[in-house]
Amino acid sequence: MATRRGFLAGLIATGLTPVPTWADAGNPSFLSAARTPEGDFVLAGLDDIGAIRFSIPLPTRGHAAAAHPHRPEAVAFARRPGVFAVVLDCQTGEVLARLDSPEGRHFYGHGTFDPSGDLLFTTENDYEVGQGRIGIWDARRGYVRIGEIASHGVGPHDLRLMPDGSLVVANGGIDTHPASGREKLNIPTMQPNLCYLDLDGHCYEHVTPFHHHASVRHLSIRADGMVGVAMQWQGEVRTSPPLVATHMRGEAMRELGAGLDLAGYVGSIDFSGDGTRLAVTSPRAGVAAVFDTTNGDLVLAMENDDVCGIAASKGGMMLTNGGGRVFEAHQDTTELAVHDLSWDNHLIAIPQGLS
Amino acid sequence: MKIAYPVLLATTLLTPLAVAADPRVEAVLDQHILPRYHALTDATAALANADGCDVVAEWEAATEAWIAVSHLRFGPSEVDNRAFSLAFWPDPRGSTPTALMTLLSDDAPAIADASVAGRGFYALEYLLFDDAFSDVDGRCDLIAGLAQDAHATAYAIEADWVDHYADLLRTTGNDTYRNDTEALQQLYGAITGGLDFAVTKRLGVPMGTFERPRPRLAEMRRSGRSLDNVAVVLESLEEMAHLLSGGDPDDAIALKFYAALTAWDSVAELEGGADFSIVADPLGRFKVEVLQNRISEIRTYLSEDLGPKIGVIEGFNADDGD
Repeated sequence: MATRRGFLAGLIATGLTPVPTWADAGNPSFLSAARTPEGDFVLAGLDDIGAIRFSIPLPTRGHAAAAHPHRPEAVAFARRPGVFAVVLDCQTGEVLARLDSPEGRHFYGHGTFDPSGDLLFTTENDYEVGQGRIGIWDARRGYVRIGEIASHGVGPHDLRLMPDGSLVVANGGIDTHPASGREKLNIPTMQPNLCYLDLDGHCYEHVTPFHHHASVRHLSIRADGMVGVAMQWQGEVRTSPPLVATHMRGEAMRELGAGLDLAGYVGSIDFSGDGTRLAVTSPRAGVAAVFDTTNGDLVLAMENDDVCGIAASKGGMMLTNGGGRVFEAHQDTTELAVHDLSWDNHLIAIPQGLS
Repeated sequence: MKIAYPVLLATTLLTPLAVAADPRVEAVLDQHILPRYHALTDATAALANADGCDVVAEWEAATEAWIAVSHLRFGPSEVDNRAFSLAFWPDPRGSTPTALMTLLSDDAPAIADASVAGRGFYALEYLLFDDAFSDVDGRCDLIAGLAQDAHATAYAIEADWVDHYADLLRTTGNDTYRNDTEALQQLYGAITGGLDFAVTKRLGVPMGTFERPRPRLAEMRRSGRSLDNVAVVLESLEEMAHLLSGGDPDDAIALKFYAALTAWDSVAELEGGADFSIVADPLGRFKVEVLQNRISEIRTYLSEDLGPKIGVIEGFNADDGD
């Protein structure tokens, strides 16, 4: 007679265990870290209308997150120079694993999964030598660290997966050391770059911005391999060059817009779902700007205090700000929701339809 | 001269519309920024003109003048890495002694082209106070060279302020400051940035963690100026906050700074307070922590009171820098 216990054992043996999907975590479309009015920190899941589907406490201030492509698992990274990240079960709020950066390393706050969800890549600082590293973690085996490769630059911040499964990393060029916190140590000599690399750590293309004080920070990837690049100016705001660019492998960077309009600082970047638009935010200017990726024209500029998080949504672009507001921008901007939270830097889209 | 006429006309028409500068911005410029940068030019001139290389007194005076403007990190100080070439600290990898050895070597670069780690007041401190440099060849010449370099830099910063930068803040509606709120925001950010730097760097670096204090990383510990620099910072930031608040009418800012200076006194009374070597001792550490907390409280007060009062809202993301 088949007992319940026996039935479950059978399912596990045949690999038919009902595997939880993002639907089991309330079907959120986005992840974002936030600060609560009490000064605590959380990672929240947001749906298409800006409602919160889950909210899980974080031990310290978060930065970006990485969403597992299939399972309702999110990796929340501590803000740099954080030395840990937590893997959260977004269904139960449980901490599934904790990633500790190796001795002499700290995280930068960004990471990405490979398309299968088996591997996680993280940007790290090997701070005694001031060189960037990309850590590789095995999500199949409890997120054990299995290796690392050079980022081919200083201060790697965001990294993304290219459509062909290789990586692209934004080496911001800024050298920091935990003994001096977030202090920038090499502004006079900084050399930011964008590096395309394979998983063996070979950098097969290396692109530098037009000015070495334009720190390459955040990236978005279009289906055809176009890279959207968001930069932060390390000089006087008035002298800022354009800080948004697109890049196709084998070509030069193409600059968009004016750095001054963005107060010398771009916080987040994302392509629209159809790839025809590239949207950026500048919390310092209190502006979100949307560019046409074909002709480079500015098609929409929206004033919004402390706006920073941005991600492609079904209807256009989803935006979040430090005042807890959630917006959607299409032809114009609609406020979707207000929460009693300060949304942190990045809004991360959860891969859809892959479960 | 057909072209001159419409230009002149335009100017004439615009004049009546020009709005007077915000009095708080005026006060900060005329009673804080400009005189204090002028004092830095004077003090570095005295350092550069001193005879011989026994220039400790002149170095002290010039260093104090720098610390008193070290929160004004925008505009002219950021051109050509000027501020970095006057003050390269914190230096977690110990780049300054290495850069000095390069400058003392046979194939030394010109000082103006050398690594910023080997220039300015912190590099001079090594030459004047560190035993490793007390009788190296070329020490005196390098002291004189670094003094002249610091003076040239200080002069360039002041000249830019006087020539054009003060006017950008005074008469807003330009590419740098679109309106008075942005000018106020810049000045307010200098105060909070100065307080944050005192908490996290000047005090925070030597504090390290309870398990691992780092007194040897204290700012200017060789000359014993670590604690003195904090007093100079507090005094200068109080002056600026007072002016920016329109005279601190209810003395609330003064009271907060007074509390911090009282905590400063109780560190100064202790043996080993001057260079923060006491952070390795539980009682000493506690006193430094109290000072750190009092400074954080000024910061909190300003963001809850002064910021909103002058129309500056601190953004969660805008101030993040990531």
